[in-house]
Amino acid sequence: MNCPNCDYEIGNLAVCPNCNIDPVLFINTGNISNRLYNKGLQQVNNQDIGGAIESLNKSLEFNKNNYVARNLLGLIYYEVGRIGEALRHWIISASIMKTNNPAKDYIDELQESARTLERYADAVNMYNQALEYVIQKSDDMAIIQLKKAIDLSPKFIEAMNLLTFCYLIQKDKSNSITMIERVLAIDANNQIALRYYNEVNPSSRLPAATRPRRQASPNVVLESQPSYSHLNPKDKKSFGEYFPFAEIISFVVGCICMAAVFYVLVMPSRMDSVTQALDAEKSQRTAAEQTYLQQVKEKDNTIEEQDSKIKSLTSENQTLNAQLTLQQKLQDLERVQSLSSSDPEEAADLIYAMDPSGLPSDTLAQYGELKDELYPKVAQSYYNSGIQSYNASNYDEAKNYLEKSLLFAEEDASFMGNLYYYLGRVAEANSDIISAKNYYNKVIEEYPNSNNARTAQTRLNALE
Amino acid sequence: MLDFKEEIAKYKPVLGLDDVEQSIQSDEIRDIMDLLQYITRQINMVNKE
Repeated sequence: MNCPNCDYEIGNLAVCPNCNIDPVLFINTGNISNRLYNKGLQQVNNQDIGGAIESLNKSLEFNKNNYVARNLLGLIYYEVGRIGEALRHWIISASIMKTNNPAKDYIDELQESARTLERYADAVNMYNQALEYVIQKSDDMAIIQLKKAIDLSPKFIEAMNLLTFCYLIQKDKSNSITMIERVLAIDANNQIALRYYNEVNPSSRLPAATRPRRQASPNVVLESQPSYSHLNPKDKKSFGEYFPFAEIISFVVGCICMAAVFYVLVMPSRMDSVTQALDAEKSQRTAAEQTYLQQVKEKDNTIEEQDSKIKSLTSENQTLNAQLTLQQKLQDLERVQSLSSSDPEEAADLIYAMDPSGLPSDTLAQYGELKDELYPKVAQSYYNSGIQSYNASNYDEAKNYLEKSLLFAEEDASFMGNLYYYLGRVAEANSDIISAKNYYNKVIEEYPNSNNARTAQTRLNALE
Repeated sequence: MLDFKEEIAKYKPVLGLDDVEQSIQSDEIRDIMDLLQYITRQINMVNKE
């Protein structure tokens, strides 16, 4: 068995390895195409031009190489003034079947009558121009163009329908009906014209002259139409033998085709749109991240600036504090100087409480001199006051004076032995025996040559 | 009542003589057998991969 498409020897294979065609389906689609051609032919004979065009186009969808259907479709287009489409189908038909094809004769005839060709071409151009005018809502201009187009091509259905539409826009009922009747006289089932008629005259019936007729009135084009209704009767039978459920198969094939169209045309565009959406989302996210990073960087810079400011202020504060402290110390030293003669005890207390660190060298020398001058004098003064208070049996006061004397006195001062001795006596008088013993021991050990060294030993012995 | 936009959308430009050649060259209309061949080729490619 040979492949019906490419004539390759396929034996009993279900699909041709050469052209990937299923021979059964190929024959089936060919038969469907022929059946639709026959239907189109019948519709032409019944003056249903619109229906015929639809059937013949469907026929070509099943088999684009059905040159007979192409020829008839070209003739119909020629009849209704669509010269471009007529030529297109005839040229394709002539390229499919190069011999015994009337399409070639149609083309030759048309080329010989150049004036007719030009007339029809002008009509088409005017129609297209008029369509532009209508879209731009220039109805008057469109009507002029359409009238001219119909004059040049009297069966130009598209132009007549558009002209009717323009009349309807202008509410010109009488001209509308005239034009509708003209269309229906050519194409008895023209859906647009019928709808316009119902729009103009909703309640009335169509005039008898325009009602669809079962038999076509002969005209030049239709008379020249060859009858192809005898096509492939054998194929129908053989297909029936191979496959009895032709309609079901046709439906399944239709579904597969729709799925294929969806897969090829719709899915890529949907995927593209999803990808675009993802890309947009990604770029938005990147932009947001960059903005965030920029903000973080700005904040870091601000923090660094603030830190630097704080450091600078802290340093300034420390410098000012140091200056303030120094100023305070200088003031204290001035006060010490002024009190040194009038109130040496107060002056000594002040200088004792003073921290000499940070003083400039000349001031530090002054500080040392004041200290050397005041301390011995005040130590002696406090010592004397302490002895007086002791003698007056005022022991607490005596203790206070003597301890202050001890604070300022130098280790080698002449009254140091006596100072410790009297501190011991005051402690003894206050019943602080441990302190008293410590003071007596100090006198004995460190100042054995002092006046009270022997007495201190006696007192210590008495306490032990 | 006719809707202008809806109605005018039903009218398409008619093919002029100047555009016939281009229309034949760019004729991508496929019939059912073309589609089936295309699907078979795709399936074969997928199977090979």
